[in-house]
Amino acid sequence: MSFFSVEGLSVRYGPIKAVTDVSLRVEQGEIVALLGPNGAGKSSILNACVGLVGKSEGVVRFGERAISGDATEAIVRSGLTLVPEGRRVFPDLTTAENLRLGSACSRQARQEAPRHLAEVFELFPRLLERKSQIAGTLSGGEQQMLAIGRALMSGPKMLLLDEPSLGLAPNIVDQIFDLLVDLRKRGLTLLVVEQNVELALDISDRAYVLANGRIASAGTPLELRAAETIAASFLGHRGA
Amino acid sequence: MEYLIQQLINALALGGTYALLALGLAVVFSILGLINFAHGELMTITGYALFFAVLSGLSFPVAIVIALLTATVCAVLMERVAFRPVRKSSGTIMLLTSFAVSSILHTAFQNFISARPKPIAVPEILSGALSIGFVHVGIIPLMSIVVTWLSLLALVAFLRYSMLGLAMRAAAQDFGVTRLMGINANRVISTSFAISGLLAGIAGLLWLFQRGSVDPMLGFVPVLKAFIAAVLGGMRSLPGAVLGGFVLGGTEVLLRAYLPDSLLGFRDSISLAIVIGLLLVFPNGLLARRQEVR
Repeated sequence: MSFFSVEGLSVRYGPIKAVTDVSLRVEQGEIVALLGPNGAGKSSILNACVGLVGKSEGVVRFGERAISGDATEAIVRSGLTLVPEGRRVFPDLTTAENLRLGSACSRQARQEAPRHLAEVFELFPRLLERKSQIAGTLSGGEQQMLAIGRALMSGPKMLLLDEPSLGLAPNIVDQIFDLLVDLRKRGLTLLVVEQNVELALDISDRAYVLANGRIASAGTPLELRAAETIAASFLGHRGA
Repeated sequence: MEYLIQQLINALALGGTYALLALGLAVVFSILGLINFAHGELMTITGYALFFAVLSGLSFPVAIVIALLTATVCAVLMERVAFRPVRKSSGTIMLLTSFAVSSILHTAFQNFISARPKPIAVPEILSGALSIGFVHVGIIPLMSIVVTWLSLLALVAFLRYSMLGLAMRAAAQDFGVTRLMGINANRVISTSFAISGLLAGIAGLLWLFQRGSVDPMLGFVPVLKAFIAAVLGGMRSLPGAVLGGFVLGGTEVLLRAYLPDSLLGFRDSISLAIVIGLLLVFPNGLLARRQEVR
């Protein structure tokens, strides 16, 4: 049994079917990328995994348990946390308050908050410098660091990241992706939704390519880069 | 000068009551996007709870505690029974639900209690006045000011230092992401209604002490004023609701004190015209949030 799996997931928004019969798996300690053009259904899959989508079919398993149908808060408590698209930090709260909220999910997370906070500040020294600053006034890169740091405060086993490079300067994107590799080294499992295909393939163990709400292809970065047709159709370049 | 100071104290007292009510409306609105027009009925419930508690022979302080508890519990029940089932519906349906709750409670008060005012014997100590220097100040206005500020300080401390308060502030900014923090949405919403009910209870008691009786319409006018105050302050802004309450209360008291007799009948119209003028300058309210995230 895989560490995390999605089986036959379909997501509807009224009459529109955003995701159709998607199945994927992530093994413990892997970085798996979910790639595809705008509107392919990538974010819908992540949102469905954490119970943020009203109507979905299929089964999402995390560890031993099927978590589809569970409330978002219960899913987060079980160790699966989503870093949402566009960072979505709480703009009127300080950096420290945003981080504190990350540990609100359980008594254990609250008890371990000082240790998690020290780890977050070790990963992102910039956040320590900005801890009293109102989050809405942080730069885009700092907000992304805060969004990831906030997710880490719950002590997750697995992170779902929705477009972590969105709207960031190239040097900041490199920093964020280096950090994702670092997180994996620390034992975290990651499922990353990304439009920056090259960067995502550089750091991932495997990837799924999504088109029109369906899995169009899957494989290792090497296999996907070699498949020129797939690369041209879905990855937006002409292969390696 | 003495007259002006007395009027300023009255303005602070009335403004404080409006501020508490507006804050109660804004706490719920900031999280759910619901304007709870049944908020006034929570004031009325407080009044009847106090009336029946005193009638049953309980001491006045105990009756006050029971009245406040009743308002708090009823607000939580209101959310659980009426608003939770329609929470995912449109704002219009939630608004209509709040009118329905208000109407049902109003009719229930009329049919099961009485349409006539029920007098509440306020302890004599509250009807006295204090002399501070050359100014004579009524105990009730003074108490209103003290209670308002203590309530506001307690609320600020709760919102700033407790995890649940922090979660409420976060939920007011982005409810979906608050759930992603593993925070129980129902708990946050129930707490916001409990705080809203408690604030309505405190404001209801202060209002009652001025009037000395409770009737089914007790909360109607104050909640309308509180709504205006909350809009004036910037509907999602809690400090804005407080500021709006004080601005509206202050305007009303000062107009009552200084308008010529021939214009006194237009006091409310002039007061509302001033509010409209302020909203023309600050269309999103005096302390509107700089950015909407929801």
